[in-house]
Amino acid sequence: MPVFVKLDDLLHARRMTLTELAERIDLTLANLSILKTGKAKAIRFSTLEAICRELDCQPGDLLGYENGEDAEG
Amino acid sequence: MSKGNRDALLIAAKGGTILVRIGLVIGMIGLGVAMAVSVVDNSIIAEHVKVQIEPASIGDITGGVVLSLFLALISLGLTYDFVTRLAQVIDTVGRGDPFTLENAARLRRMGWLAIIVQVVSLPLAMLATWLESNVEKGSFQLDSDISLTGIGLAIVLFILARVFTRGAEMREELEGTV
Repeated sequence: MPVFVKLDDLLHARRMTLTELAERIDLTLANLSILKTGKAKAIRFSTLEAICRELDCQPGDLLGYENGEDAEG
Repeated sequence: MSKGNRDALLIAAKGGTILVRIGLVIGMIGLGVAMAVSVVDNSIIAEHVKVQIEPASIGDITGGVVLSLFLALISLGLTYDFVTRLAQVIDTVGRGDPFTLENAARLRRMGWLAIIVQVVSLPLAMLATWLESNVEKGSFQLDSDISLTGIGLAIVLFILARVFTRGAEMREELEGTV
């Protein structure tokens, strides 16, 4: 999928674990893991808001877009 | 979702499907025994049924009775399958996960079963009319007719199957949402 999640980098930069973030945003570790590994089909605004609040970032910091053709070229 | 497990309507419906299935099995056994007896020894029919019109012999009447019993047996078997699928749908509601493609397929099957039962009832009704007109009045009685309610039920089930298909698709979309 051209849209990818940069949660791993953000957590690393904030020195926070996935479990800790899951507790803070009241989301199950399994669901947060789905988001982190890029397996999620959609993300709720409420989830995005909670992640941005806890990691002190913008939605753009969490998500990236890479055109499939550009990536190949 | 444990709410479904305590739902009085679901419990009553589940109990109802079990009772109906027990009744259907008893009915099927009874029809099977009646068919076997009619084929093996038609003297019972000869004793109790007086042929009214000469062209129809006791052999024809026995054949007609056996065929009508066979059609009624098929009808009960189809109804048993229908009630079994209904019980399975009720179980999934109880588990809190009814919007699945399996349930959509079950509802579609129930719709077809409702139609087939109606189709089977047509020759059964014709046969019943023939038998009633060829034997002494009151010695044979079988009520069978095509019912508009049955056809209506089939249409509702087909529509519900589509609703469940769409519900399953929506549920799948929701599953990937975090």
